Amino acid sequence: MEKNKIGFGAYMAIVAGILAIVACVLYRTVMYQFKPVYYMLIGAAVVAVLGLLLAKALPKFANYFPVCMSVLLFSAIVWGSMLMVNQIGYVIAGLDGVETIMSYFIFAGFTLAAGVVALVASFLPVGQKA
Amino acid sequence: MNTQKRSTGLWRGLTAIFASLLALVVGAQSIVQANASFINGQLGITNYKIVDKSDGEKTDSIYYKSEFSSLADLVEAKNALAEEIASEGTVLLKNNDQALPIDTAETVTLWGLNSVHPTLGGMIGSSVSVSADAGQVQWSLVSSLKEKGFKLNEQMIKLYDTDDMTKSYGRKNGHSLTPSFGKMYENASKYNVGEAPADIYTDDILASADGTVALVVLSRDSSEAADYNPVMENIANKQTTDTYERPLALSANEQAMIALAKEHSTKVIVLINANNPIEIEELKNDDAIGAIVWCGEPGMNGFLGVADVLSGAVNPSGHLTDTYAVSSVSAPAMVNFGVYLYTNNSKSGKGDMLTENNKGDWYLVETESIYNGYKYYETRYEDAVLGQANADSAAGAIGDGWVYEDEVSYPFGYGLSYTTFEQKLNSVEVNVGGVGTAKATVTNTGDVAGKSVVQLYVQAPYKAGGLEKSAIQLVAFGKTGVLEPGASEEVTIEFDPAYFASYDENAVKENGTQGAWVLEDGDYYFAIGNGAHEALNNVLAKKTGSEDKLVMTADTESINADNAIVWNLDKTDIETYSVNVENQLQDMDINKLIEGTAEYTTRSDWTKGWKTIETLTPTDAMMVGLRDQLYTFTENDEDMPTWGQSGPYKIVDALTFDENDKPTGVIAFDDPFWDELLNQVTLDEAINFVANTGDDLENLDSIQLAKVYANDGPLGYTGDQVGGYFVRWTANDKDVNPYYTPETDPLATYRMAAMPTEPMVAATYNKELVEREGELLGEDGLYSKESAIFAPGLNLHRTVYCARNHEYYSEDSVLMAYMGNAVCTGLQSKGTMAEPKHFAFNAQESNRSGLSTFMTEQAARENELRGFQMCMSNNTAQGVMTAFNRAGTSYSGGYRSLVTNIARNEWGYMGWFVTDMINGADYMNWRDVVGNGGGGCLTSSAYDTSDIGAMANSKSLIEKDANFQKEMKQSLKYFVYNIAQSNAMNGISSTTEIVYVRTWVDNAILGAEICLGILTALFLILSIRNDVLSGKKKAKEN
Repeated sequence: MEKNKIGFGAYMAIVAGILAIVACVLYRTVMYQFKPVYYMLIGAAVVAVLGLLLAKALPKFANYFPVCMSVLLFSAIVWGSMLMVNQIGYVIAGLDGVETIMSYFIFAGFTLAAGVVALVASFLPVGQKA
Repeated sequence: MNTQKRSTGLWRGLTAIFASLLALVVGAQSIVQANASFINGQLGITNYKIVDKSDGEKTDSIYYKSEFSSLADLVEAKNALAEEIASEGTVLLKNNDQALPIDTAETVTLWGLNSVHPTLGGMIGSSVSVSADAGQVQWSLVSSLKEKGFKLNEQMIKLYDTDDMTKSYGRKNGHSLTPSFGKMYENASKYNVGEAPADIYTDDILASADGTVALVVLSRDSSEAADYNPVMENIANKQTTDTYERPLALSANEQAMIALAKEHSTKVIVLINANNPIEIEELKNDDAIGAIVWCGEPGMNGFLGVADVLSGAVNPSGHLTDTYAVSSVSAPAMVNFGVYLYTNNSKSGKGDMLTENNKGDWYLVETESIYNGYKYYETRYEDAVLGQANADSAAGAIGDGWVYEDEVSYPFGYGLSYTTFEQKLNSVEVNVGGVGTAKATVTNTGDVAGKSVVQLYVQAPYKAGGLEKSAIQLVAFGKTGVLEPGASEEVTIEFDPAYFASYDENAVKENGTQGAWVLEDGDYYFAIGNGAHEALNNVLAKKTGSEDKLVMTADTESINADNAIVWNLDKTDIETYSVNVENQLQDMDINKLIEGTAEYTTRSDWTKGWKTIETLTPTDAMMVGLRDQLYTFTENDEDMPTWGQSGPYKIVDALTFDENDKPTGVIAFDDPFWDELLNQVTLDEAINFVANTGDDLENLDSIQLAKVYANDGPLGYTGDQVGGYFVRWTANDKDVNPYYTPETDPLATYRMAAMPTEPMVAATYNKELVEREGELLGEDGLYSKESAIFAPGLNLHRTVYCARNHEYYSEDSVLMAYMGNAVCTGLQSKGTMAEPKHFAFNAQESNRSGLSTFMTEQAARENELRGFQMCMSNNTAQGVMTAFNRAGTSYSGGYRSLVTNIARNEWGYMGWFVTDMINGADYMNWRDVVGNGGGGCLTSSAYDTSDIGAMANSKSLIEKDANFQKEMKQSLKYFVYNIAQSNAMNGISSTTEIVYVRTWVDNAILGAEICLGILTALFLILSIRNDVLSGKKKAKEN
């Protein structure tokens, strides 16, 4: 029987997953929150773990997990901004302090970092032949 | 093998990239759709166009016409009017030895850092900005004085006008209040007055001021979403640079600066640039201060008018709209102001806790009862004079005992002129149930031409221990034209006795209902005077036959018993003004909810009413409102409204014309036509309309109604929301509307918020001028394609610490009512719908969102609501914005007692209601708003965060609830009925049709989605194909 091993992509996906969890925690501090964003971030982290678990058993299938993660993470960024649009407008117009949107940008920064790592992981194998 | 592996990774990676981009674009599409109006406006595009299908035979479909031949003419007229209002609204408080006017041949030294950074308007809805591209000028004090020929000490201006000075001590653009939309659990703690210390003045600088006239500028700023608080500290640039006892008292730096000005000048003029009365008793009593002038916050053009007053080109005729008290914290309203938390607030961890989403943590009990502003100071004065009800006790007094002259610097309504006038009250005729008339003769007894205001006040009979009554209240006012020296004019003032009736919560009417407007039997003293205090002195002189104990607040006041006329009512009348009236606001009285909680200010004992309500635990009944449960869906299907019925009508069919095809109005509200028209509207359309109205009133395709635009604010359309005349127009409008303003127009970006702030407008006491303001704001609507304006602000100046007082006229509800009605009348004449705000009881900005506001029903009706009543009962207000706060524990926009029972049933209001901006807070939910007759919801992108969710998602519940649908349809009817009477109909006729088109933004997004979708699919296929091939290859190898 052919032996498979865990590829570098799986480890990168785990890094992206950890960043997604951090982003999820940070999202709690954002002024206006859109619940599905939590599901997207947690979903990305869960997919990362599943990738690691299935890397040896179903490597070809697991290789697509970072693709799913990147879609979830970039979706989280844009949907996370959905409810913050007005507030960002207020700050740009000078009507409210920049501190009211900083937590959104920190969250978006972490999510973006997670997304980029997931994108890189998409190019790499999650599971591969030993 | 490796190549195949690598290419699989490559295709998979590219799949990830394009799929992620696709996800971004799909998400962005939702954001774009949600903000389509704003984006389209910025890009000058629209998703519909009006097509004429008349075979070339066009009818005149411009129902509201401009009186101007060009936009340039309108802009010029507006700037001139703003200047005129500012000159008439400037109030001269003191003028010893004719310190004013200033001879422009003399050199003037401006003193105070705020002289180069004055406050022109408040932040947010009444902000002032200009478009340099359009050649617009923001007239500062310096540039205005120069424009009007003043010679200024440039050395002092140079000292102040540096970045370094502003950075170290100053206020950015005249502001240092910090607006906050967030929740407050503590009172605001910092405020920078913006004055520099005395050590910045070198000997050279001081020498430059010697022999010049000192013009000392004292400023305080204004802002929405902010308040002052007595406990604030002066902190500039993260360090304490100044000190004060209270932010509305003179600061140490200001006092030091004034001392230097006195040393180094021929005379000192103090200019108060603030809408919140500051403590100026020491300046009033200081002989070295020659003159004091109040100019409020005069807007972008106003200092030109102020300069005219300073030079004497215009004789001042303005009068105070608020009492200038010696201490800014002496009013009983200050006992309960700021942040107070329920014991079970969301941070408490106690009992049946409120949640953050409830936004119900805070309350405010207005224990002052009806005794707001001058109604407190003057009523207590009368009782002190008459030795009644412990009026001279130490309770609430500045000193050991309450003495009027220690309490009030300048009374409400006070104001001087460069000339003198003699006013004589000739007659007063009262017609209960009709119109009353007073006549007064005004003679200019001085040697300068000028205008004079006749203020008519009344004292209604007070019975000890009975119904609370102010000792004096404004009834109406009139203003002369310019009177030459020696000239006279008889001023006729009409008034409605309803506006001095008292509300008796205990009165039982013939029909058995409780609560009534009452005119009690007894003597009514009508009096005129230079302000409330002089009028009251005239009343007291008449009533007591003596002037012995009477106090005058200034040398210029006089006492004349002949200027008071007695009218007697022999029998108490509780019916005339009580049609459809009964108690509605009993649950706003905290004592009716939790017995004995509040001790209200009362004329029967002035030692009462000084207790702060520090803690409050809501009862179960109160929790209903605090938990946002004002409406519950039920399944009821009796008389289910009709939706989506096919029919021939368009909204434009509501217009009526005379035999010459001139528009005469619209079909009567109760005509069956409206039902037929609205039956064509689908349920989905109706839901979309009421759930998303506000900045834009949504389109109703089924009746050919396109989107209608509405924006802030009281100074004119604010630049933050409408960045110029061109913003709402698209090329499609070019052939349809003669007021189309393209982006290429030199005035396209000209900012429209040109008027002075509301206290200054009210200080003119000139209704004609204010109606003219409304007309020109209405003209702006025509040229900017805006059909409604969030103005005027009609909340009461409950305390001087509310930093949003700049958006409201006065501490007096009658002055507010007249001014509000005047501006609404002007707007309506031009087809721009006035939308007064914030209905009601938005008395403070701290925690305005969700704040439970308690008061007696008498106070609510006689003060705040009376300010709204005139424009709403006259229906010159066509829309009204409800407030952020709760009334009692019920959200004001979903409080049936207020929006339906009082506004509709008592006043006959036929305009629409819309909420203030709903920002994801559950308490402002569409269910409670629509279900209780609160109209539409001004939503933002955060609406969906509320637990109740979007209205469209609850369609299945709505479909089963006929009562809810009826309320929704009725609200829709008020909207449509008024839109039909607005400039939104311009360009629409029975032969035009609204045709929807895709914008290039829509096409670009769709194109991007298709491209990215194809690329994603392509790379996914390649990737899977490689996987499959490599699998087969491997199988072969094995």
